[in-house]
Amino acid sequence: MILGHDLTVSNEDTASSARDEESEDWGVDAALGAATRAARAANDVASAVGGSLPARLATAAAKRLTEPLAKEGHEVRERLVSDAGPVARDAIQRVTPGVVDAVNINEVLAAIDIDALLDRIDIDRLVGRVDVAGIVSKVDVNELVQGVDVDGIVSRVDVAAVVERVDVDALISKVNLDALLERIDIGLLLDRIDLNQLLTKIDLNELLKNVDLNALLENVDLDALLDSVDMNALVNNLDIDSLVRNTEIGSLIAQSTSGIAGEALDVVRSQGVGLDNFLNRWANRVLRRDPIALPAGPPLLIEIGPLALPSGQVLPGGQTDSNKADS
Amino acid sequence: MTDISQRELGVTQQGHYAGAVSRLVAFCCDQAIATICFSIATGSLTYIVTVISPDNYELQIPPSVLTAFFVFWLFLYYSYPWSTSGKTAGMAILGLRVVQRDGSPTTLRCGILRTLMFPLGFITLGLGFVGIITNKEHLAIYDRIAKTAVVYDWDARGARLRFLARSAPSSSPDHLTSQSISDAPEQI
Repeated sequence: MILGHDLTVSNEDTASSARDEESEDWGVDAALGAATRAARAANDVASAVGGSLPARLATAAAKRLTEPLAKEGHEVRERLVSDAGPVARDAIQRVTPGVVDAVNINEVLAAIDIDALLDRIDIDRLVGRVDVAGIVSKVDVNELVQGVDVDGIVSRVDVAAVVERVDVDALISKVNLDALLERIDIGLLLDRIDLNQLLTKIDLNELLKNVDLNALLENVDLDALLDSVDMNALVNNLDIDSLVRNTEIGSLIAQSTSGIAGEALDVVRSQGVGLDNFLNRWANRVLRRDPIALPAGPPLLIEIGPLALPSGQVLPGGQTDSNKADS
Repeated sequence: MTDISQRELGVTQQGHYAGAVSRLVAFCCDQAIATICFSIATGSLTYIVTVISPDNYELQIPPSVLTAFFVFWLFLYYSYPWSTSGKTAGMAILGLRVVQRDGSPTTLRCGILRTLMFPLGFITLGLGFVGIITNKEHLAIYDRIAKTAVVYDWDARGARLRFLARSAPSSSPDHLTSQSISDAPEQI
């Protein structure tokens, strides 16, 4: 009866038609309800009683007696199913456009309690049923990446804000510096560094201001350092003359080694040497001797070097001390 | 400036053969010192004898004896220093020293032989001293015999340092040195 009902109704007539149908089918619905109640009660009784031996015997007898009726009923039910399918399909096709037109999606959606709906959804179970690997395997990442406007994304990113949100301490604390350093080839790194250019950029004065020289010197082994110094070579390189002339050493020596008598002796000796040389020059001229060829003094005294001048020092005029004395 | 050059030249010639003038002046000094010492000694001896004698005996030494003593004194005066340090008082003043020909220190033999041969210079009427001027090694006749030589040997290093200190510029930063050093050459 319901399947045969005319479902081609307009939107305005839908509500009134439904009320009319409800009043007309009241009797049928009541009969179906009573039959349903009776069937449910009978089923309950049958299930309660059906397990006993008499009931089973009665059931077997009833099946034998009603077998012709059941066979006919089965044929009718199959025919009903085969005939009802096309009729139901046709009915649905005719009803669906009207239903769709009649339904206001917005109202339906407004009536849905999304929160309650979501609360009822087991997200974990849902996600667990998703085959992520299968989805990912079907995604062409290259094509996906090519379609991404990276420049546009980057230009819209507030890098400063991102950086401010980064906890650098926490980040660094998670870095294994030992393992990182072990992977670095220091030699290769240094080869690529232009040390000269690096040093030119270093402000040594500023650097030295920050150096604690006292602490540095405390760690220096001065004894070992001095042991490695060739003091003889160092002294040989000293300009003793300049040192005595231009420092307090000269005055100290003068004050400590010379009194009035000492200075007088120096004068007398110097004058004597001068007169000796004057006399020698004339003697050499008269005797036509080359002063340079003359021995300056006894071998042992001359070979050890002049007493007053450092070895090899040249007097003013380019002469050695001995040559100048003779000349 | 001449003084400075002269002094610089002097201090650079230590160990060189000494010239005639220095040796002559040294000899004069030695003779003066020896004579003065001998005179003081004889005068003191005479005075002591006069004082301690009961009748104020005045000691009269014969000239020959006195001369012998003087010669002996001179022998001691020269031979002992020449045998040991190589320099007498006069030579020390002039900064001279007697060494062996090779420059090594003198020995007792050298000192005594040189002292004994020293009069040959006078005996030869001064010809024995001519070698001091004409010889390449400034050797007198007694030097040849005793195989000695005379060299400059004063405190060369000290003298040079004193010279350098005195010749330092007056602009020296040290206030102590400025006076002594700048004034020294002028004083000389």
